[in-house]
Amino acid sequence: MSSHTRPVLRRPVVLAACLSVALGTVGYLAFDPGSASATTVAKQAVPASAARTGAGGANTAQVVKAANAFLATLSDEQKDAVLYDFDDAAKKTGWSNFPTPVVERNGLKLGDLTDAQDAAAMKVMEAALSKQGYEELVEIRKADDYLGSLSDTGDGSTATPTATPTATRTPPSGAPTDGTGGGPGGPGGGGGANFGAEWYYISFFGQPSKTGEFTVQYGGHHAAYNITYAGNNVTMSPTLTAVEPEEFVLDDKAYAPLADKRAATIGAVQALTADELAAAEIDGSFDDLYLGPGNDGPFPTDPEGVLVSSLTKKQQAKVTAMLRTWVDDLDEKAAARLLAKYVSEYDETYIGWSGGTTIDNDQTYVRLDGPSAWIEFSNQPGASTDEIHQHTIFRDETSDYGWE
Amino acid sequence: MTSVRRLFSTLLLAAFLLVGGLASPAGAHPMSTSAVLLDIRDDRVEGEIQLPIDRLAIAVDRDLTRTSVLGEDRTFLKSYATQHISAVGEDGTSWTTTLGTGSVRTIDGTAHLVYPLTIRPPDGQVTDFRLRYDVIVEELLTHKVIATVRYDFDRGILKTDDAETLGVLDWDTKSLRVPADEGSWLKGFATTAGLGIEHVGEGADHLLFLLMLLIPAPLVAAGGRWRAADTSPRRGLVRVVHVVSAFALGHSLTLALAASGVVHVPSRPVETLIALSIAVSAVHAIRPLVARGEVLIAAGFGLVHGLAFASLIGDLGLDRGSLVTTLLGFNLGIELTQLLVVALIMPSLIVLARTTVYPAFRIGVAVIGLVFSVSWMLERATLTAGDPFEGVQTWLVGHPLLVAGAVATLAVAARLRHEVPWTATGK
Repeated sequence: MSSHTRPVLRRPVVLAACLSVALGTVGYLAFDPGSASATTVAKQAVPASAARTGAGGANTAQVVKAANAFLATLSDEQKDAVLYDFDDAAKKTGWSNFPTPVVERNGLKLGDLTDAQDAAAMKVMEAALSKQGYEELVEIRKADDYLGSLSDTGDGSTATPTATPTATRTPPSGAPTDGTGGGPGGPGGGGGANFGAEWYYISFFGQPSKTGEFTVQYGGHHAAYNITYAGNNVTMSPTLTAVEPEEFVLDDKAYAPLADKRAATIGAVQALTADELAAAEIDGSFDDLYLGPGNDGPFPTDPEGVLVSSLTKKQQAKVTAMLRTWVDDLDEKAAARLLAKYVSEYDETYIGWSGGTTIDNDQTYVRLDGPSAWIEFSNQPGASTDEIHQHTIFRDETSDYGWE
Repeated sequence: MTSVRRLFSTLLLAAFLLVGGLASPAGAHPMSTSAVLLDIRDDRVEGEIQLPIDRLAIAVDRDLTRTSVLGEDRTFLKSYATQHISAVGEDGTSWTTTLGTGSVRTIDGTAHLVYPLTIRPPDGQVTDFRLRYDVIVEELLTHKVIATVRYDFDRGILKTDDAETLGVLDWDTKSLRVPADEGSWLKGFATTAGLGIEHVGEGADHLLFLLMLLIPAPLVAAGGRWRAADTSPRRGLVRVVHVVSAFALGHSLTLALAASGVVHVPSRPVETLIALSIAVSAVHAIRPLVARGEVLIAAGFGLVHGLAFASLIGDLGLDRGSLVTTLLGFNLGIELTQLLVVALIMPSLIVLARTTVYPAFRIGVAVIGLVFSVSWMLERATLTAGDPFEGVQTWLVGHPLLVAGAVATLAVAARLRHEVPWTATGK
């Protein structure tokens, strides 16, 4: 294992790099910013829009520190690959939940990094996210490993279960039958290589800095985070979290990522009365995210659903609990501020549903639509397994991809 | 911004379908997408729509099965689909859209209801138009419909090419502009010529046949043997022109006849006959079968090769209107490639023919040709499962300049060491 010697060698380098970054920052702060050439990055001003729409409380310094520590572990070539201009078009197009051969991801593939580099990359996400959010990220990554292992063993588990043209079928089952059976998921062999912990990517748009604007983009099959900082403001729009299967056992440990999101969403919808439910039904059906990868808008101009402020305190608490499971993925302090902002917008925030309101219905679709917050929760028939699974997205309409 | 996004999602979906079909990423989300395929013709647009039955079921809120969509739900579904498709010409006039009889087909592993589609402009003049389409999408808002032009002669989109993706119809985009009045016959002509070039250039059998005919061209048959010609290289060249012209004449005739539907021959016997034609010409290259035989062989088998070219023309699904253009273009491509092959190889052969090396070279190459052609014959007559020489042939065809260069080098080397004096030849 050559990697055994690497950390020993790298440590002084990392230390030196951190030190120089620290010195550079001190130097920048101590002298006239206009004449500082070594840290041109810092010249980017915090956009005024960030102040208008952000909620503050971001732990930007910690994230910058972790990002710089990660960057310091990289070769020049790797650095070139991981850093983009802040407004590079790849930011919007190079994230997805589609398999990586379909949508080429930005930045560096974690599977290509050394253990030390991988750990440093994960430290960036650990800094950016809350404890709960980071755990979820790690578990989704494991879920992809689990999916990958399914296809490795040749267990496509999708051997066209009920392909017989029986005339009687329950309404939604049409979808999973053909969906799973017909998918390209059969024993294609080696295809599982597209899923797994190594198929995650990290990139930076804009140089990480405490004052300028930069985005940390991280993602793979069932997760995609776009976290943008501007001074003490932060937005994680869009962030896609999904999982298949809902629960799994890997290396003797049981996992249920997104369990909180599932429970809270269904809890919020089912708290509605029959009349409210009827009023909250969204026109149209949904078999995936409406504003998912590649669809950045337009956000519907006429929100559908019931107005959250019209609900009882108890019902509103359930909606807040739902909202919280997404917002709280972000680092604690910023998340608390954002949540307060979103809650304060309840008189313009709607909750609606389509297809179904139960967790075991593959048509179930729930949406929260506020002037800022936008959440979609979409049940799907299994793609790699026979089980229903979820795709979800969180956006902030006022700061999608960072206050654009 | 929107167009960038549109382009992206188009590319994405196209890529997804491609990868889904080829690489089969295990467990990838089987995205059940609809498809609209259009064939642009002079007076009408034809094509088909492909609706994944599972998504259609969600959209119309009915239980649908492979049998029910053709049975009890048939009338309902056809009128549902018809109501959600329309076309409007540039001048605002609405064109008639008609759906044919539906059928069920498995596409990408998923059952689809497929309707033939015909769109007719009122004045019988196809111009640019706007296709309005929201089948399934009007209800299932997360559904995607990929629209492609599968055939448009004037824009050089033929069925053998990859179809051109027009765009993706979805909840946000329920109509697309179809450029149906762009390009010109010249573009189609150039494309068919390109196909002709490609077809001959990549077809080991046609190339080998040509080579077999060319080898004896610089020689004269005398007393049942090949002899170096005693006249100038010009004479050899004239013979080559005869051979190539005879072949061109032959295949042009049958190509035209078959493409216009006058004659129809199943492709397998034709393919077998082509292999036979190579074998015969290889034998002829070893020992002359008939005096001036290569011209006769070229003409005769040209007829056979023309039938094979015609089967390709058939795949293009041509309009009668553009048939002549297609034939001319395709033929031009074939002739150009043949002339190129002649230009590459013939000078070397003429030089080689004047050396003592030539008999060995001629017989060696002819024997290889014979072996290849016999192997083809067996394979095409389904007597053997595969062709053991395919790898070699693919390599040879893939490296034409290397092959020509090798022959040229041989010719130069042989001329320096083994030249046959001009006077000693012939008599």
